[in-house]
Amino acid sequence: MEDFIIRGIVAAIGISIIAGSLGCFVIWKRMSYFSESISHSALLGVSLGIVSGIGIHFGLIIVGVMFASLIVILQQRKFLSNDAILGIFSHIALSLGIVVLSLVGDANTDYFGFLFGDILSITDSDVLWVYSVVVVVGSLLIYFWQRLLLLTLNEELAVAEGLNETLYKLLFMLMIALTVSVSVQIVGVLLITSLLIIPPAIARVFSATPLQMVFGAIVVSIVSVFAGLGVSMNYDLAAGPSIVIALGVIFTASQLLPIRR
Amino acid sequence: MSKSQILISTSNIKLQQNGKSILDDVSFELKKGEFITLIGPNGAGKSSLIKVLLGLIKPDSGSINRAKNVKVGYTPQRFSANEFIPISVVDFLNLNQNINDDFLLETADLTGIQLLLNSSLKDLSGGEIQRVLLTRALLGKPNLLILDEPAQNLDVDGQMQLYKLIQDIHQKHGCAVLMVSHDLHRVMKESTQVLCLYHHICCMGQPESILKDSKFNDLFADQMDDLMATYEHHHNHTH
Repeated sequence: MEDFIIRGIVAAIGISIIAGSLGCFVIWKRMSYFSESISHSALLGVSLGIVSGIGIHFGLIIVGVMFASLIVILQQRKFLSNDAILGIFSHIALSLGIVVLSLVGDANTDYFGFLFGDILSITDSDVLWVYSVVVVVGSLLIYFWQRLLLLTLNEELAVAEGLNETLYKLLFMLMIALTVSVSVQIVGVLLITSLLIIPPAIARVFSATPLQMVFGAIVVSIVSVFAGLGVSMNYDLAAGPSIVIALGVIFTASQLLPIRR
Repeated sequence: MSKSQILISTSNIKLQQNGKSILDDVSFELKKGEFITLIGPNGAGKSSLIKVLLGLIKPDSGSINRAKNVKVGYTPQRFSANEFIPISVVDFLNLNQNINDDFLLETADLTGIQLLLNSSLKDLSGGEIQRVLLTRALLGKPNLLILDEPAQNLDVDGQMQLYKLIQDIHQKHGCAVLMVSHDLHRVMKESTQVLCLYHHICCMGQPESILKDSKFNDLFADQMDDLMATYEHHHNHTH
């Protein structure tokens, strides 16, 4: 097997681990459109990372956190519904990203790669980045699991029991931004949210506990990575969309099964 | 009473929401072992006061003092568990607290939820949820229970059982209780203090003295009429 394929698979497995587990919270908190907006800001993060010279990974994290904070600030003003705010941000972020990228990029800039992922472009240092984020996000999730779960289950009760909701909201946003920052290369900014929400949505069907749902989502995600990459290589198709289609097939099949309570 | 026995106190709490005064100059204190019932008409600010006490809402002015050793157990008025999370009652009770299995079973036995432990949290009825919430509150070994209309969604039998349970917890464990209620007749017998709220504190005192208070009677004139009609034969009041 070619080196680049191995790098792609290894990176995708790392992303499956964090996207699958974090994605459960995205589903529970009904934040799929929130993560969509953050993903759309990723293109701007890439451009700013290139222009400023801090590199795309730092650019992605900084822009992601910035956008997430802006969204939360606007939400707290309570004059627009959540989905309107997220819709506004999502499209402004995407347009800004494309325009800035066309200004700073050259003829070789691979828009398609950023939008839909480019597994060929993954280097050893990218793999290292992915696993650094896996370790950071994974440790945070394990350490704060009970508190995050209680806050998600019922915020009022959790706060009354002494948890600081703002702190955990920020923590959650940071974890989303970190996950998005390493997922861009595999699935692209337009498809990142599918890695966050489809695996947990499939896992929900088989799960009777929150932990089962997290592990189920990780397994489903890894399976779809192998299936998607396999198909994409055999038929010379884009890797990101192939993974998402694999998820779509599993999701459809899962809907035929009885849902566990 | 010495100061060290005050578990929680507020002074001059003011809270406005959307230009309306919700809490106006509310000051009171809750001492160790007390049973305060908070009553007042709908929209009087009862739940807001509870939320201020718990730190869920910041008041516009005034201060809240909590004793260092206060351990609050809280059951909210409305509780809806996130419906997308698959979680059993027993996992919910254990969530974010370390609980010994025997203590959990003992407490579940006390609140009568043993048979619900393996049920899914979102499948419970309103009355069952209240008992599960009370169980969770008790598992934290509180010395102050804050209960926001715990008897709602319960039938008459269920209400009697729950009040009896709260009374037992208060008496046997010496746990202070602050309970919001709209059920005047039943609650007043158990409480050591009744606090009547209508944005400001209308009156406060022991159950017997409150009944005689003219401000209280004005506020609850309609409900009192209902009560008197229903319970006429139980009472020794004068007309």
